[in-house]
Amino acid sequence: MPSTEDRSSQELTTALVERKLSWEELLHLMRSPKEASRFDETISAHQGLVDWPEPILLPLGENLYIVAKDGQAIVKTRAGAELGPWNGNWKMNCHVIVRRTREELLEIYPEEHLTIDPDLIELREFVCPVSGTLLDVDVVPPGFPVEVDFTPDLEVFYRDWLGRELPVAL
Amino acid sequence: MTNRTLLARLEESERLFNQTGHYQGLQTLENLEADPLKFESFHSRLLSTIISTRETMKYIAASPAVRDFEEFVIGLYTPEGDAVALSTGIMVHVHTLSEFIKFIIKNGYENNPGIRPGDIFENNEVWAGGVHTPDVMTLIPVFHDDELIAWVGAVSHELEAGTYEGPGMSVLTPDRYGEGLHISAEKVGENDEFRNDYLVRLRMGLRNANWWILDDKAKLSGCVMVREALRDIVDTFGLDYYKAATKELIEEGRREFLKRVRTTLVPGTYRGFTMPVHKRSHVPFVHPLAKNDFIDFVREEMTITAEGQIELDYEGSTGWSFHPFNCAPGPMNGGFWITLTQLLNYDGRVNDGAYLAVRQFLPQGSIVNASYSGVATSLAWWTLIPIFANVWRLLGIASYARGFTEEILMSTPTCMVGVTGFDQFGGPTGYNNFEMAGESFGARGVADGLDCGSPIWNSEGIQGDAEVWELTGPNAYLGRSFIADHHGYGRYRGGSAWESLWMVRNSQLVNVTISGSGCMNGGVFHKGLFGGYPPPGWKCLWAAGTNIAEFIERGDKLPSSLAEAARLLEEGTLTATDWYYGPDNQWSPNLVDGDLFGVEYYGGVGYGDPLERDTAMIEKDLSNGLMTVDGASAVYGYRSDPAATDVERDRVRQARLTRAIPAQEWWAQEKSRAAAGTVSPMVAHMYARSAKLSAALVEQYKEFWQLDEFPYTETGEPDFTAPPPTGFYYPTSSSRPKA
Repeated sequence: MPSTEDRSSQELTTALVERKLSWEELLHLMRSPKEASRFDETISAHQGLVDWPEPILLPLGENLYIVAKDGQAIVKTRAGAELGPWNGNWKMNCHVIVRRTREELLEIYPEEHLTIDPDLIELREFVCPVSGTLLDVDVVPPGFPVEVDFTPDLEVFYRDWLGRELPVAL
Repeated sequence: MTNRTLLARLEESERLFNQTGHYQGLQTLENLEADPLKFESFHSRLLSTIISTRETMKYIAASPAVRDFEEFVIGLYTPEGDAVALSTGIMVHVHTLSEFIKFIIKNGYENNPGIRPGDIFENNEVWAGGVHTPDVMTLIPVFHDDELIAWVGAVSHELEAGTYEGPGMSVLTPDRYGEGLHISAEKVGENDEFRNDYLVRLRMGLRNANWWILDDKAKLSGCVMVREALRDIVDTFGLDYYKAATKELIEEGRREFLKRVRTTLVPGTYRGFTMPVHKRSHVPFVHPLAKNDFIDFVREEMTITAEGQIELDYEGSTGWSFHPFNCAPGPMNGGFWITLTQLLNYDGRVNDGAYLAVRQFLPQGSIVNASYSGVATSLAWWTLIPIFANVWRLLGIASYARGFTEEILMSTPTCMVGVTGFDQFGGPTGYNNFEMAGESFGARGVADGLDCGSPIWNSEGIQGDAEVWELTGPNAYLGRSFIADHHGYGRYRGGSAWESLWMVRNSQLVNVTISGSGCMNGGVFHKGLFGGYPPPGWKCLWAAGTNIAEFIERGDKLPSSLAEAARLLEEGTLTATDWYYGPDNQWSPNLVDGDLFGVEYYGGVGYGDPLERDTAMIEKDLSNGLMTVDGASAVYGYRSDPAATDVERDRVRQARLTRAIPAQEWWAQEKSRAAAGTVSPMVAHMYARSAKLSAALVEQYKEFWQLDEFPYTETGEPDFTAPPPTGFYYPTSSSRPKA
């Protein structure tokens, strides 16, 4: 593997996205100034990982993106499931497994260590409807509304922070 | 030379900031722009002076908390009380010391008791900017001729604070009257010497006053060293340059903070909550006001604005109550600072500029802004730690969205063992074992969490040597080890849980309190990221009246883990008159020589789908004993050859798809339950307490479930009026103004 110094910034970012950097290379990255080019390089790296053509506007989480499609911004999984508008509750378009009994929690955790009280807490596993990949695991009191952890201010981010127009209508 | 009072200078500084948005109204940074190298050299002189002084202070201090576990910090402040430069250490106190100085100024201390060269002020009072009684601030003014040009302050965490229970942080006190010795922004010394009456007060108010007194002397020595060094710095650079450049450093800090946010994060709204579970009804001798079980719900909405400001809004949180887990602006500012300094302001330019670029909206009367004059905050950390760990998680989402995955870092709860009684030297003692300062991290975005890292509240924290704790208190370690399969699972796992088991040694009267922040009593610290899981739980142990002496006499192996001790107790090989092993916080009965106590510290939360975990990392954990083959098989779909692992992981994904139902379908099934409010009494109580204080969660609940009524209306608690403090200025905060 070429050294950190020999690789282009894009090559390093792609390796970061694909988790192919060594610990020494990661340390180098942590200690280096945060380059303005990182965002575009990250988008480019992710775009190379997906099989669909829509341009990625923002990574929302592992295996989850906001993409531009037909002039609109929508949430899409890496495997291709489309989960509604960019600022909507994408979790409600996932499939879900809810664990609310000790027996259901024991499918995940060892008996001798499990002390999560299912009277107080339930686990909600949000699954990509195409691939079965776990997109998020919520840990909530029973009855708690399903909420998304992050709704970006896409317009401000693109227009004011990146200095370019957002390629979709919001 | 200025003849203006400190109060006039502080009010002018606040007016200029409110009017211009710039610290001290500085539109340009003239000294920085005129000669950047001189400016940098000036800052380096200040910072190196402070950091090297801190190293010296360690060798004056007496308590293991300062000497061995780095629980202290020292900093330089402007005359108005704004932080200019801070050492490493407990960064909690960047702004708490600021509030202490502003408290002094705004409450007329210039006139009475007066502020003169050689004076020493001290504080651990939450209403004067402090966090809790064990965090003791020592502060001196710095004069140039007759002009006060700076303050130097230091803070140490004291292991013993005179609490009702013994350890420095009380778990059970219902109000401030049981949380120990309060030093409420007081002048405690003159002419660089502590007053004798103050030292007598410490001797009478504390079980082990030597720790506090010698730490005080270390802090005073450090403050005086910085004061003397400042004379050289002022001589070198000139007084006018010193005054102007310190202001510019703060304004530069504000601008750099905004710039860093805009270049590394993404604007928008981030949501989270934490819900520490507290149980005290099983403790037989707890105060009637505190004898209850409840969940504190803290709703957190973080906004990163177009300008790059970070705002935290806690609307919807439950109210303060009769327990020591309450927070106020001082603790909340401290919690925010440990977040800012470790995740965003890590380049040495730590000053109050960043404080000017963030805001917290703390609803009055809530758990984050208790409004009762007698409220206890002794263990505010049991609320702060999960709150700000969750903010770390939210900032991780922001870093990921911008592409800076290498910066994602999550934390863990703190699990605490407190010991009180009589020590091995025959004296009264009370202390918290600060090996908790070496707890594991949560997972990172590019790596597993550290297995023995540092806590959220002290980035330099370490476990320390077991021998130091054996010297500190009447106990011997029987074991200190990792626990297999006990972390949050994920593509990157949380740091592994570890445990300590102690035997009481050379004491005939000692008891222990054992608890954890946000993870005890069946609760969960907080969720993981992007498909990662939280750890499975938390347990502690005590055993009174054991037959350990017979084991020793026979030469049998002593238990070295909590699980082993519990197994021997269940088998009857190890006998005890009474014992406990489980997930509830505990206050043991009196223990004597040969009795046992221990804690399983919590592991870190996970990151990403566990099925994406690299098999080489799994095998490394298997080799190191951090996972069992059964555990790796169940959680990671691990098989002994790569092809079989791939097949198993495909099978698990298909099984998930078969079992999972569309979320909309689940919603339709759940709606009637949500409408009826059929949840456990503790959860119903939590919802009702939130509704009592704010409509935020009520409206969110009704909108999501499409209901006209919120089912949780009765808290079952008495209505009473608890007055706020009166007669003096203190830092305040309030809800976000309605649009």
